[in-house]
Amino acid sequence: MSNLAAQIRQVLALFARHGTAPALIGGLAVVAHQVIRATKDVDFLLEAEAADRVHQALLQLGYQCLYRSEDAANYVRGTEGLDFLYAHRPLARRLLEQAVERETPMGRLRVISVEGLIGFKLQGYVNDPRRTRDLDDIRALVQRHHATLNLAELREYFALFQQEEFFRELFHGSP
Amino acid sequence: MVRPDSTGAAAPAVPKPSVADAVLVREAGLPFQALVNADAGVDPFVEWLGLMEVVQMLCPQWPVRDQAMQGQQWKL
Repeated sequence: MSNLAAQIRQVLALFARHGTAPALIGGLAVVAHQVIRATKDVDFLLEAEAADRVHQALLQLGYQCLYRSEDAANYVRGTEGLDFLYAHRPLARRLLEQAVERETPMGRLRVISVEGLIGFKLQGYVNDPRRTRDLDDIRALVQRHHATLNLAELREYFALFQQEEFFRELFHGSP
Repeated sequence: MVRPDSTGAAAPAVPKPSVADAVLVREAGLPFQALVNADAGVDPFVEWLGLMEVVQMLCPQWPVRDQAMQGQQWKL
């Protein structure tokens, strides 16, 4: 098993021991939604109430906390990274609740919906416009799932981040 | 129904794909968007693990995050 897979298995076991079931977001969730690309980004959406106990458990596993706020946290352990967004607003809580469990080579894990994933990718890009990778991911996810996307839900996320022009580009072919 | 909050931060303009498609060093020079055919019955995680085995051989020093997440617009 690769180091990456072993890292994810270990983190999933940690979640289970602490009675929480975060949802995969970020680059690996992009993979889960059928857009395969190279990524070592291991990102989870975690219920905010579990943040403290997961934080302590990660420190015990040797992770170093680079940053932590009420919204997000970043951890590293050698060459391994692990990021969290905390679900404490209604939208994120709903997306976490609706995440679907999947059987994977790393074990059973929950994956956020493709619409929710696009919403978080938009948030990542708006927060740091250097992250054009997020735009690539959004375009690829839309291309892959165009026929089945919930456009009403997506339109709300694009409006939330003032990206209506990008929405029109994606779904009507031009800005 | 979700509504924008009142942070007042300006939304960044989205660059065109010709800019966003640039191959980045952190991707080990691999082309982006190798889409899986859903009808092929391929597990995307299995495909990704196979891809990453190769990537790690080509790029053993994959950079890890060295700075905190950026931004003020946490709305989700």
